[in-house]
Amino acid sequence: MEILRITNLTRYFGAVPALVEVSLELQQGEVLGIVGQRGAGKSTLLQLLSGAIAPSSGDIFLANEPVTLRDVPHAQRLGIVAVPQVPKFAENLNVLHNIFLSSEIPLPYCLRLLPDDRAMAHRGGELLRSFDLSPKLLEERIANLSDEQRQIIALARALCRPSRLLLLDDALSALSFARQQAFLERIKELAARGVALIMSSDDLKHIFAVTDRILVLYQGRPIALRRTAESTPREVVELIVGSNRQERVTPMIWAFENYYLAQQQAEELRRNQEELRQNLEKQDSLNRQLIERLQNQVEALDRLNVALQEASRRLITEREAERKALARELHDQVIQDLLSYNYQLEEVENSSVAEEQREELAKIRLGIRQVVGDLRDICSDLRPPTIDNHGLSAAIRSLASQWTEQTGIPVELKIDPALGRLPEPIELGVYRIIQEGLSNIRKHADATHVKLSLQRTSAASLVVQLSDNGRGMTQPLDLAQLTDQKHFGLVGISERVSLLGGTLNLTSMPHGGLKMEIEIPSPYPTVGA
Amino acid sequence: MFFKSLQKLLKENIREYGMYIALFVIMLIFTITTDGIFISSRNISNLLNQTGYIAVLAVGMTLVIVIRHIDLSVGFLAGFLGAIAAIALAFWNFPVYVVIPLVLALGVVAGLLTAFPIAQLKVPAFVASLAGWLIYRGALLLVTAGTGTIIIADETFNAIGNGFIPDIPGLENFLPGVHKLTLLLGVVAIALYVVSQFRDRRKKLSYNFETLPMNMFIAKLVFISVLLALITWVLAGYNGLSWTVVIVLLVVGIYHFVTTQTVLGRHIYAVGGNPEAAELSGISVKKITYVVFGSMGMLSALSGILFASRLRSATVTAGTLFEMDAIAAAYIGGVSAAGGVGNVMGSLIGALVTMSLTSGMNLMNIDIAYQYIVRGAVLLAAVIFDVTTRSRGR
Repeated sequence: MEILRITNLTRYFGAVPALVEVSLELQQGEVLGIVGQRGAGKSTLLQLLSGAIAPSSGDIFLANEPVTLRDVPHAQRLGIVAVPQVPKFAENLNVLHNIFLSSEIPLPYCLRLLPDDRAMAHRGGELLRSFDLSPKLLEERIANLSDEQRQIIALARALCRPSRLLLLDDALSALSFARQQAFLERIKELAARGVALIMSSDDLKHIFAVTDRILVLYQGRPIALRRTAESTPREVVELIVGSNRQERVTPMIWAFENYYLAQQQAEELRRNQEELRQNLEKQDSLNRQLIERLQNQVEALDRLNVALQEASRRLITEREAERKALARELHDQVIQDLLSYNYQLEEVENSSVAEEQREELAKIRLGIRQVVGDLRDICSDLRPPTIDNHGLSAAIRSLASQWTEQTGIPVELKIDPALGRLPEPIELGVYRIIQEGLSNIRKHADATHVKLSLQRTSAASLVVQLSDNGRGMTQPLDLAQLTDQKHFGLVGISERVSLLGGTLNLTSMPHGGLKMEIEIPSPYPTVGA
Repeated sequence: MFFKSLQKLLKENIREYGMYIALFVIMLIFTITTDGIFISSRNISNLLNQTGYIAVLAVGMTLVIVIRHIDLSVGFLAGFLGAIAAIALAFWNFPVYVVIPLVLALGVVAGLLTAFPIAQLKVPAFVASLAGWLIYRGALLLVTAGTGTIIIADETFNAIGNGFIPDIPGLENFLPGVHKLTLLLGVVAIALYVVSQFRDRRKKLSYNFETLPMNMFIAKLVFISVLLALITWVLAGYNGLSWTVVIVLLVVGIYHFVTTQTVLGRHIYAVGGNPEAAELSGISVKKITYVVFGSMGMLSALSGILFASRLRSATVTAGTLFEMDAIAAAYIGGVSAAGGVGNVMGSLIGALVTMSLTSGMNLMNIDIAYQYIVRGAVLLAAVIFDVTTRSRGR
């Protein structure tokens, strides 16, 4: 059945012909494509058919009845629905109201005066879902829509109206590739239901995918009306360009082909990008997991380290305590006992008659006194007696003079008078370090002069400097190697220093000798220091 | 918690509630400065009767401005049709039940005539209605030329602008001095309001639209109900509801329903939002223009009737500057000249604001010159407030 026939339809804008004498007829369920260059009159023809503008001359027949389309509402009442190239909306209404504007679903029994918003929301939601959009969009303001969404709303608006003739003026261009393909399928369905369609498009693939015939316009004039099945894109492009000269047609075909390809590639690219983004996210989360595990391990190590130091400190403290107890035991018990025996022997000696025996006894007593002296030395080695009573400086002075006595090497001593008393672990630790250092010098350095200084610095820490003019170090220090060689001197020093939270510095002097510098932070900074 | 959500509600809906707050503040100020005379039953009753003929014009003007037009001719059209009514009653001896429909019909015709050049020939509404302003002014002078002021003797007609609704008979001894029917109507109005609000809320919830939180919703209901009860009580203490108030409430109610609930109302706002888009959607913009101007003409006629009835006469200068008051009321009520925005309830409040200003300043014996300046300033402030809050809202 014939839906539309137009004869010699012409439209001038002023003196400019926009469309000249177009005639055609359209059957029910037929799809007509309109192609042409920009300004060829595609939109003008569609606007004339939609009632938006009136023809200068020519006639329009709808189902064999001559009609004069007064305006768009009139055309819509006759079943002609158009989707314009640039859709326009009432921006103050939401999407739902715009879709159904002027074709509201009325509430029953209300003389078509009252709208049935529930039914419209239902139908509108279905329409949006068919375009792969969320029904939530219905409540959105028009101003917040993207160009593609606006185009979709315009298509939905056309689809919810009863129509015999649907006019699509390049209405697919803003859609994504996938939605374009879906809508082309939809056009076929509409045609199968008996709706006649006229679509203009710059995309020849779309035209050749769905149309039955193609009308080519050139500068407002119809120059060809071809059956799609009997035509080729090349022929159509030749007609569009208005020339069959190779050098003009080929770039156009190229452009069309490339446009299509580019669109397809853009779609592919978008998908890839999406995939890449997801992969990146996955990778990212893996990295995060790894970092987290690493962090946990580092933390565990830290804890272990702290525990180890603590254990080592306890060991040293306990050792010191044991030494102290041992020294006291020796001093208070053994030495006293020996002295008491010595005294008894003296009494025996005095009361003895035999000169021989007296001499023997005197020898024994001498021996005992020597043992007592040795024991005293051991005691003071175990626990410097002066340190508990007189403090670090006195203890060190006594140590130094004792050492000089034993070795014959003079010690140049410089002790900060403002040293004061320090906590017992520090005093003891420093004392032991110096003891060890001096013993190292005696054993290895072969020195003739030793300098020792204890200073309080402005940073409220204790600095110990011990230097000699001996052999110095021939190779860099390797504590692990020293431990293997059972040389525990320096190892012990470094252990103690680290337990006191200090730093140890060993430097070989340029003119021979070694300088050991230890800095120990004091936990009790003196005021004004 | 409560005050926080109240604050949030006010902040988000300042455009909607702004003019209610403004009206409240203005009334409060005048009540204080006039030692309570302003809020007295007598004055409020008078104020509402005075507001009547501006309010109906403002309602019509709202729709005209919503579709991006303006109608300057309404003032003298009202005066002219009031004179026609007076002539029909006084000289032609038509019964009042014929005169009123006749004048309203004439008003519709006059509105359609104004609409013709606008819709058909695309003449700017300003010019077309300015021509109407001149023509109707001339027409008013013409019909009153021979007689001058026409006195209306018909008591039924005069009751429209001066009378009050009758009380329920047989209850004279119950609450003497209080208008029982007014109280009853007030209670009914409150009940209807509460029920409709609950229905509206349920409907919105069923569409998953945004609604007020429950405590705010209750607070709003209580506030409006108390306000309605107060107004009812104040009015019932004088003579009860006047016929003018009844008519205005009817007009506002009908127009509110039409604009918010019906297809026609939606089409009017669509045309205001984007005429071209509305046309392409299949709405006949011409038809909407005719409808809106026709309704404007009818409301002009109603305004003319109310004014003539109030003065018990038709005067040569009737209707002077009504159009300006109506336009000011609409703008104070939140209508936007850009089209598509504004509602009739707002315009009613706008009319109340302008009339409260006039009445209050009269009570305070403020010079008329300053009155105009103050009203101008209030109009400007209202529009500035509207424009700034809108640009922030979007």
